[in-house]
Amino acid sequence: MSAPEPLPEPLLAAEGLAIHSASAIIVRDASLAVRPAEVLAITGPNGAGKSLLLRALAGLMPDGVRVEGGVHRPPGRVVLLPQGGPLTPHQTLGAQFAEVTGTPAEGRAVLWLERLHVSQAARRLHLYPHQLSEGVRWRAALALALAAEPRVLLADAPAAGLDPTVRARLLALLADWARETGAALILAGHTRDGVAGPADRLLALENGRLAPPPVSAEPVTAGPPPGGAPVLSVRDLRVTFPLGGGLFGGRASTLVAVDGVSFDVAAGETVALLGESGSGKSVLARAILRLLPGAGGRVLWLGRDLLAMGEEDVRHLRHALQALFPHPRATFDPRRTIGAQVAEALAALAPEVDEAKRRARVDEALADAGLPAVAADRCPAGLTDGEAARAGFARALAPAPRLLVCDEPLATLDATDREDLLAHLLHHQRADSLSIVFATEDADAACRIGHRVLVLLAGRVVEEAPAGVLTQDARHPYTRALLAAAGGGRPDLAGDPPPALRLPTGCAARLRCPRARDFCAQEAPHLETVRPGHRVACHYWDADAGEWDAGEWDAGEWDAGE
Amino acid sequence: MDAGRFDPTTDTPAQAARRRFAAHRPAVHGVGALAVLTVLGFVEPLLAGPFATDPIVRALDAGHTTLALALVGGTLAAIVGAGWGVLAVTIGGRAERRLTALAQGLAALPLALLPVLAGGLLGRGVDLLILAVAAAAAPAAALATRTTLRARARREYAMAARAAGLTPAMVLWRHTIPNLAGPLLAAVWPVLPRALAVESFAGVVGLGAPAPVDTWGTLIGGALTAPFGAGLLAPALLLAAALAALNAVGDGVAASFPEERP
Repeated sequence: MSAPEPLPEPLLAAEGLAIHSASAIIVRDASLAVRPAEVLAITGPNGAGKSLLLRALAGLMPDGVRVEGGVHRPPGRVVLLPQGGPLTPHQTLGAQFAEVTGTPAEGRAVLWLERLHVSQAARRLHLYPHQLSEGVRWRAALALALAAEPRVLLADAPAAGLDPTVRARLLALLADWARETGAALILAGHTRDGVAGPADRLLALENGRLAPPPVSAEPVTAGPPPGGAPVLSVRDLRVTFPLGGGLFGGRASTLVAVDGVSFDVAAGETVALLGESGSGKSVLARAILRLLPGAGGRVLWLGRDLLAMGEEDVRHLRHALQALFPHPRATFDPRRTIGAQVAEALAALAPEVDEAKRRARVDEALADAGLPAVAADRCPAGLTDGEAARAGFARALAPAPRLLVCDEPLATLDATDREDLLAHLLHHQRADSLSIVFATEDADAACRIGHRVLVLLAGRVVEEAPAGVLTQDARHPYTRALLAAAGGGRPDLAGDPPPALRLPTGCAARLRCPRARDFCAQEAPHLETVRPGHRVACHYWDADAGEWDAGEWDAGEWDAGE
Repeated sequence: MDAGRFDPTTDTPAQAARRRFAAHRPAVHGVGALAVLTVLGFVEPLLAGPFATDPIVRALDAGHTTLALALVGGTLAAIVGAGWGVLAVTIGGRAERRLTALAQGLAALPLALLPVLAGGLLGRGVDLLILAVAAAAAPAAALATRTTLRARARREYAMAARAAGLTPAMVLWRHTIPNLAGPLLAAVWPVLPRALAVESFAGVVGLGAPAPVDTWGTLIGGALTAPFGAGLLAPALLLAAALAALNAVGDGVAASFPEERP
């Protein structure tokens, strides 16, 4: 982990660095040093000044921003990879590599791309950025940065927005590069961007101060699982979307978003739905609440099938079935105040409560969620992300629901807000025996607050187990990759996820799977029991971990341009 | 642009929209110019007696008629166009593509000739003129409506409102329509200057509103045949001012409802 003795000279060092804009001090008195072969991660909330700090370190300040203090840069190159990994839209990848390396030779460009696991690299050099999938575009942007052979690479939110398993693997490759070549690597981003994973050292930028992150309190975890009969039973739920076709004909097809999912939730229990984008967890969460129509199966709430009910009957049950959505601010009407919208929900869900009592309950719900009283009179645009998420909690919990279906409610939040709200959620669960269905792509959160975890891939459950079992003995390669990504490790899953409309035959994971054999292409695996309560859908789930081929494997063959 | 004037913690979106409009100086001047043109139309009868044949007085007299024709034709076009766009987006899929392609195809035609053709082939009449003007402006309004609806189709709040127990009708009336009204107004506003321009063009070539009715277009058309173009300047300048003012107000309306950032 640490640099060898004696400590080599730092490659890049800043002492007493301060960044001022016209009206504010953004960073004050920041000092840092990175040594050769060291990976440093800088985390911080939105608007903390991470990007400006990186630009100051690279010596590329925008107009109107002043830097004080000294930055010692190495004689070699310092390369800054800006947020979003931009590529020049009107040039092919090959032309962009030629510009960086100063030679039109394609061989080296291909090597760099292959280093970052881009398949068919030579062919892709002739493509334009818009012809590449998001995953390949990020790989290309990182490869371009590496092709400049920097002594110090400053990456701003690298690979943010990619699925965790893909991102964690890319960051691990970057760290490998730094350690092999003796370059220094600084990764900046949110904690949720996974930049801390491959880092040797961690600094946090908050309120203008750069310091080692505070030792976090004990992370919140769910209590012991409650027993009891299920309140919600989902049986063979199937959700499909028609594609194409329509009024004037045309070839119609169907996208199966959720296929044959079954699970039970008892009172006071949390079931986590774990999966990356496209796994169907959001669709599943919405279909349970009848916000999307189900195409088959049953959703039994206290024995009554929600899918078979009329719209109006479901509406009368909604006071017990509440939801939290991703992007909390977008779930509020931008034209109306938060207080009015919470009151509106309460009026619709609990019409028996009179006006005065309702107002008191709105205030109570907002205060309970940790919002100041003035927040009730604000419109959504006037709230921070954390406040908007709290307002979402207030609206969902005001009618005292018995089931809360959460779809990535914390995805846009900073680490502190996230822990606060998780604690708030679990507090309500204990106090009111609230049942929770919690959809997330963060395996750590899923295993901490879920009593049971369902791992979803391409609309199907590929593994389900109690959270404790899953963290110790996950059997599906996809589950293991998600756990590795959440733990800052290197997921053993190659390439990019296939698009939903071009899934491979047989097992949906096989193109990325290190265990894949010919048989995986022939037949989709069914859930098999590993032990009571632990089921997995993999033909080779009993393959020992030692058998895994840890060699590099890449079948990421999924371009928009093909 | 003027985000500094907008404080989200204290302003409601409606207040913010008013503030943004007030900060758009060309739009404010445009409103003023249109108000002056309207008021001058009322003042004109006082002068009409002794100076009834003066070109300036005649041009002022024609102002109300011209603007009213543009307003009626433009409003009709806005209603048809918005309905077209809303219908396309509501149906979605292939039907949406067909309806949009139809609007695109029509908008690409020189529709300004439509009132001229109608006047020449079917005879001149105010009703027919209004219909032709509306038909000439509607396809562009349909395209603008559809683009706006697609760009703002972030309906998370609509889904959240349904989860909060509202009926679909309540969601539509309380949330969806109020939120789309402003952007839609901005999208279809250009039909007004377009209708004015199309109507005036027909008048200039002599196939606009029939004889006793004067519009700026017909006045310009008449002045073209007069010696030295006498009487051309007044209606031409008023028409140019009205077109510029309508476009400036449209810019201001568009600036009042900026694209929301996620």
